Amino acid sequence: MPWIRDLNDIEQSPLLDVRGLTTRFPSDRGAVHAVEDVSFCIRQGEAVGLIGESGSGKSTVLRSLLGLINPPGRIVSGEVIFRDRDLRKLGEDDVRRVRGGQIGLIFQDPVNAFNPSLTIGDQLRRILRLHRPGLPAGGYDGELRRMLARVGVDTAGGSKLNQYAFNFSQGQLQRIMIAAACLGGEPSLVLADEPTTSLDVTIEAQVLELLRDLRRELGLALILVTHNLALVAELCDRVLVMYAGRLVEDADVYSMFETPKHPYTRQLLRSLPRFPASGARLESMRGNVPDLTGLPPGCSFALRCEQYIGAICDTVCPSLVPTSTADQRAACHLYA
Amino acid sequence: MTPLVSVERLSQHFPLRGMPFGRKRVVYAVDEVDLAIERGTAVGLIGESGSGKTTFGRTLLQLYPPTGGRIYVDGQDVTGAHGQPLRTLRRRMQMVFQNPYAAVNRRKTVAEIITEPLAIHNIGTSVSRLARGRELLDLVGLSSTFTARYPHEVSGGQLQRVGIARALALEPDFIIADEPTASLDVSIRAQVINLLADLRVRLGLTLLFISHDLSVVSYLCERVAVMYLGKIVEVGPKAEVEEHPLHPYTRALLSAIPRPDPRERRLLSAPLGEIPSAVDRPAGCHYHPRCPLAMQVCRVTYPPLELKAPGHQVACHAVPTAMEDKV
Repeated sequence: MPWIRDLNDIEQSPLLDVRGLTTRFPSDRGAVHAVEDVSFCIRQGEAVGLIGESGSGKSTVLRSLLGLINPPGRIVSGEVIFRDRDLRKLGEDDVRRVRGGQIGLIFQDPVNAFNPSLTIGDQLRRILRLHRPGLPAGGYDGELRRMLARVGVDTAGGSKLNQYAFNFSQGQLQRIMIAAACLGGEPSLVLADEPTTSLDVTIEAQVLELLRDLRRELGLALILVTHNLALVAELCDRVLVMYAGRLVEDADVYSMFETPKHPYTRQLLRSLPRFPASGARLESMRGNVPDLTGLPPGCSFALRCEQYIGAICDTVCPSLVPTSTADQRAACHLYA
Repeated sequence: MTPLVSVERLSQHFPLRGMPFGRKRVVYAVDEVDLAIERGTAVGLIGESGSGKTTFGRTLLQLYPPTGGRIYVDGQDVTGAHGQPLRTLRRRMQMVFQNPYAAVNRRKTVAEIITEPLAIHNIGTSVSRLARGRELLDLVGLSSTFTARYPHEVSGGQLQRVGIARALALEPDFIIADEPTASLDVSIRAQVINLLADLRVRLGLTLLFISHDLSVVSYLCERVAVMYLGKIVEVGPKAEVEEHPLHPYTRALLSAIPRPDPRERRLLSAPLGEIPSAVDRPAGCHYHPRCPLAMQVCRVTYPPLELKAPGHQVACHAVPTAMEDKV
């Protein structure tokens, strides 16, 4: 698999270094601890899957990175160091140039991500105007056609640029959004939030293929937020597993699927329907995802854990520590 | 043996109104479908959005009257039943919906939701209905503390169990489950799949399981039917369809499923194109514009659904008929 770089070769400073990120939302029942003390690094050109169930905080992490948290939600603390600059300390104008320029964004629902009252061409031209000021005036349309052709949206005659979002299928819109994210500015990192969840399986495969090829071609790093572990297996070099607002495991993709260390990751992989079916029954995980307003002081997975080791699990929140396998960390007292 | 439920040339065509120049156009949501569901089996109906699988399920229950074809229950023609006969029929055929939050009345408690079918059919007294409600909750693995809760007070997985309990209230022998796990998280999905599998065995249910997720169907069903643009293109025993898919669309669908194993990366041959609109379906075989095997005849004639292997029917000109040759 030639597109997976040997990670050991890259000993430079990480592209993105997130330290102690904490984001909370006030609610009637007290603060929702959506993201608690999350730290991780993304290396140049690396594809990282950020996985978790709904409410685990994975999308909030992504939004927090770019300062896209709407009040009353608030990033309480943390540093987001991208190319040696802390994005949280930049002014709004500078952040805007990073967002969409150096960091591309792909959202889940392509239909609602576009403005329904502007043509696709208008929306894409705005991106170029902001992030590619070097382009000659009037040179936009040629560039847009080149971008769309690259993602497989046929622009013969140029009329496609004058059409609105509703003229396109979901799959085509997602391709256009990928064009905007990967080719609109000059990004070195692309953030994708459930990019294929609203698509059918054959279209999903096409979009994943496109994303994989563009990443290889442009050397982009990728953070793929998804609840679908299969997408991570297809596309990513490394996996970050979130549970109840915290990072519980950080591993390279093979170790994560073959020797998962955190009990949550283990139980999650066992409850995954395989195709074809592996047996008559699925192993199911007992209990539900905990309420993020009143998390217990200890490990938030303790109640559902099959490897519960005693009082320490109820009282002390485990931090992410190295395990016996190289390049694999887990937040569990088993490894303390 | 007579199948519990079967349909012959069942169609559901929706006319499109408000087209310019008074043109009449039709959405061929379900188009001349034949399918038999044997008693006690679970049949998985798979397809992408727009393939007509949900409309098929709803038409089978006669939630809207079919525009063509016949529906048989226990060999009896029930097409067009209304009034009391339809109500009696509905006691035997119930549905579990995709989004549990949308499928229940938010102003009713769990107990009221579950026992509503009993009230509608005038079964028992309010006291006996409540007792039955507790039994049903127990059956789906919820404690009786749930009776007084409102939908917003329970999680998605729990509410889907409530939806299943409600469907079981009238002791039906046939359940249509329309993507019952699509809105649930991975760790909860397994619980609900197992629950459905257990209930099937315990209550001897016959199941039509509608899903776009083949891996879920793979756990629950003995037979699989594949739908594309209103037509069933392939139907057969689960293992046959999974291991020896014959229709090019089924093959494309199976190869497109991402596998949760990084050593099995194979996104190299994503199927071409997108599913066309059910209004302007391509002539001949509706799949031919995307099909790698398309021949001249495919552009002209829709292939009949024919037996191509034991118990395995396929609608494709390119697949040789049974016993001719090994494919």
